[in-house]
Amino acid sequence: MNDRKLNQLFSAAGREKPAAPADGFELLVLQQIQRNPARAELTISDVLGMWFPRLALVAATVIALCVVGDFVSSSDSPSLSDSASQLSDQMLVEN
Amino acid sequence: MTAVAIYLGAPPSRRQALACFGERRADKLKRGLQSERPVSDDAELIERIRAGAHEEYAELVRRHQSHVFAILYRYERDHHRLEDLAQDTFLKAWRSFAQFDGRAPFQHWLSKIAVHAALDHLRKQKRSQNEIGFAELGEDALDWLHNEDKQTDLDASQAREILSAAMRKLSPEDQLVLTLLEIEDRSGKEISALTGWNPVTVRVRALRARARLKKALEGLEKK
Repeated sequence: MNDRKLNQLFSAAGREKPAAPADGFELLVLQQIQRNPARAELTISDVLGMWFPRLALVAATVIALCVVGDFVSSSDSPSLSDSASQLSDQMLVEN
Repeated sequence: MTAVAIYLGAPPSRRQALACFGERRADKLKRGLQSERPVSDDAELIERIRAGAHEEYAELVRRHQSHVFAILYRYERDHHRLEDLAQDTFLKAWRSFAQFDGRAPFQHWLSKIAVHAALDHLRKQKRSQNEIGFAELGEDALDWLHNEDKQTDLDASQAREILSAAMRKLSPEDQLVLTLLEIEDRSGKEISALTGWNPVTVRVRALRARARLKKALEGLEKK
């Protein structure tokens, strides 16, 4: 079996016409659904999966806003380490 | 499958099917199918189904049934079993309807379900049969197979016969990848999207599957 013959086989098989569904097929499907009505309800992971890109974008935006906010607020007021050292200096002086 | 029971005699007529479905719902469905307000868009139809108009699912099935049959008939030649497989596909789609997020067209989503249904079907078949069905090949197919210099075009059904016989030697995954790539002429990217396998896996699997098929066909030639 050479490649030419194999390709000929594939292309001939590809020309086969698909079988057509019988008339009323959609009604048979509905009958099946009626007999097996269970339909998956949305689980939390489904909802998260559906919202994933949007949720990720919103979360990234919130994080970025927090970082920027913290940066801006920290430039006006003394940093936490400054405040801590100031407090410890005061305590040393008082003692 | 229940459809097999339905098909013990002649396929049920539309009226019989409607009677089975229940008078009230059938009336509603008939009205829906004859459509006082035709819904041109899948998205709108899907919204209506989600809102509780479950009968509208018949219209969605009607729109996409040919596409699903076109995917599945490559894996099942018997018409009744093919119809069972297609019903199974639409039933699975119904059951996971909530997971359809509308980011891709409904047909793409349905194609994935059909491909996975085909893979499950091949796995079930593989468990029950493993031998190459040489005896099933017709005379013309055998003649083409044995004649190295045969230049004439091979008939589509003969080609299908030969491939079905040889593919039984392959794993279900190999059969699927060869069918999608070589017979349906789909790209690696498409196959990757349909199967969920990564593109490298698709390429490697296709190469190996082709080599295995060649070997199986050579086995047939020698018989």
